[in-house]
Amino acid sequence: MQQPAIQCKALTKTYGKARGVENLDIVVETGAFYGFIGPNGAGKSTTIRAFLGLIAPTAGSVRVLGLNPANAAQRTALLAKVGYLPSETQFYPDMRVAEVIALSARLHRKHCAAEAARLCERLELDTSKKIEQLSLGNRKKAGIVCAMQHDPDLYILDEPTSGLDPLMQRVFFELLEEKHAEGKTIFFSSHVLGEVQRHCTCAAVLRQGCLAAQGSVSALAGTTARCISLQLAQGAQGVLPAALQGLPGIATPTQVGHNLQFLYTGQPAPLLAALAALPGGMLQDVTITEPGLEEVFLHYYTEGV
Amino acid sequence: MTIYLHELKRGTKSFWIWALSVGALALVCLLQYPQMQSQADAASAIFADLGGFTAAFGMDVLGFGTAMGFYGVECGACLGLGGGLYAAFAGSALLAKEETGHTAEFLYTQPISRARILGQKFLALTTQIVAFNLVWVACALAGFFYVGENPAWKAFWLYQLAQLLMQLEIAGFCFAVSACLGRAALGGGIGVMALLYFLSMWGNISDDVAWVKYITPYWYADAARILPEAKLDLPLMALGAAYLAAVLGATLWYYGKKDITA
Repeated sequence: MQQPAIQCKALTKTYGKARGVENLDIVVETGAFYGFIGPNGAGKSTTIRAFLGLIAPTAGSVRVLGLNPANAAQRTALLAKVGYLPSETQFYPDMRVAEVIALSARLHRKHCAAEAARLCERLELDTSKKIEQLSLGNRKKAGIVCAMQHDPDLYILDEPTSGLDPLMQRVFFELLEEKHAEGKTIFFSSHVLGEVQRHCTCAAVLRQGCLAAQGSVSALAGTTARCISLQLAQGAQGVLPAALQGLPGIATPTQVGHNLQFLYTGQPAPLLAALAALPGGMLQDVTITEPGLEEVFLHYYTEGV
Repeated sequence: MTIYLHELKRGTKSFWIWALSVGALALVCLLQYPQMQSQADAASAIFADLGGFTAAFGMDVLGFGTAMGFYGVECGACLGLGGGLYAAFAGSALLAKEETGHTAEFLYTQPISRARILGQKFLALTTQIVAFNLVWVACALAGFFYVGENPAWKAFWLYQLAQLLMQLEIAGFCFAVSACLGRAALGGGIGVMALLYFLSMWGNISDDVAWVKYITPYWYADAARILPEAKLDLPLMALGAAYLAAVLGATLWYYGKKDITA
């Protein structure tokens, strides 16, 4: 059986009295497209830094591609097989993009010029510019090229799409999908549930340094879970309409003004029947969307996950 | 040697600013020598009356009347402070700049060990300090020749050698400070250099604190101890080299385990 690309057991990292992450058990199988979800300060970057050996765990163990990142010799070997994109991509400001990309290739001891040129073309990155002249998005693109040009086995990407425009996000995920199709493992952290749902097979949800949930994306988000928003007539404010009370699968109903919002995990037919049964004129509008990250978190917490 | 070349390139502008500034001081000082020589007796009498100040700067041993004496007192102060400051500045920045510039995450996630990164960084710093001293020597010799004097060659080269080791030792101490203090390293490094400098002056003034010679490299690199007899204090220099080796080893060990902040 193939060893997991990433495996951490009871990973804990504290900074004095401050919490980093606590008792994390994560397994990322080789070839997985894995999403790592959590709000700011949840501990995503801390976990990723422990995977890369930038920080040493306070307790627990980490293995990446079978190697221990806390061991200096093994860390160098594993970093040769990893492509890492930090959340805040920073380079030497007085260097040109081409020089930074070439520096990274030389440190990998690989001739990556052809692949770097291909990536720069796909990402529409001008390599003649100095780093200090680049916008956040273009710095991110340079980081993507540095992370991908040496054809690593494992991609660890910390909030990779922050700063990229929607068009470039699409190109970026196309590149990742191509690598995934080649059998590479992709692990990326994100605030955006939608991109995790679209691309990932598995995911973990981190909350206040602890693992709130882990598993297949469909199981985590709930394939039938939807955020229902009802625009109600004025007289209906402040109550959950009787037709909806007792309907299985409704969670966390909240009402703001004329708007009633809840998470629905049941089948569509009973909900549509209940909505149809509402008194005439009460329902002004209905919006059904994928739940946002916050709603899913709320759902998990209220469900006691 | 990718990191070595990368560091040399990054430090080029700073190197030339420091080297030319301090080198120009050597030249300007030596150009003052003919004027000072004509007033040597008066100047010596004035400086002889300055008590501890006279001893602190070695003016009780070195006289203004000779080119080497003048070089030791005037240019020696410029090189001691200028070279020490450059070594402290460059040594302190060596690791800290990766944290202040937020490039640490990029650098330390490349497949090269931290020991090799540190080794190549310090080698680049050593190269820059050697080059700094070569610029100084070129400026100093230009000054000597311009005023029609020849330095006492043996004493001159021994003094330059001691200054080089002193600067490397300061750079090593500040490199360690850089590893420990991160973003606050520059202030810490300059503080270490100033401490070593004033310890040596204190030792020059008071015989009760002779122990400072075992701590500060400014002691063995003092012109007043080298130039008169063209002789180095080899045991103290060996101790300095041992300190340098020990501090580099400790820095490698410590930084290899340190958590890297973004």
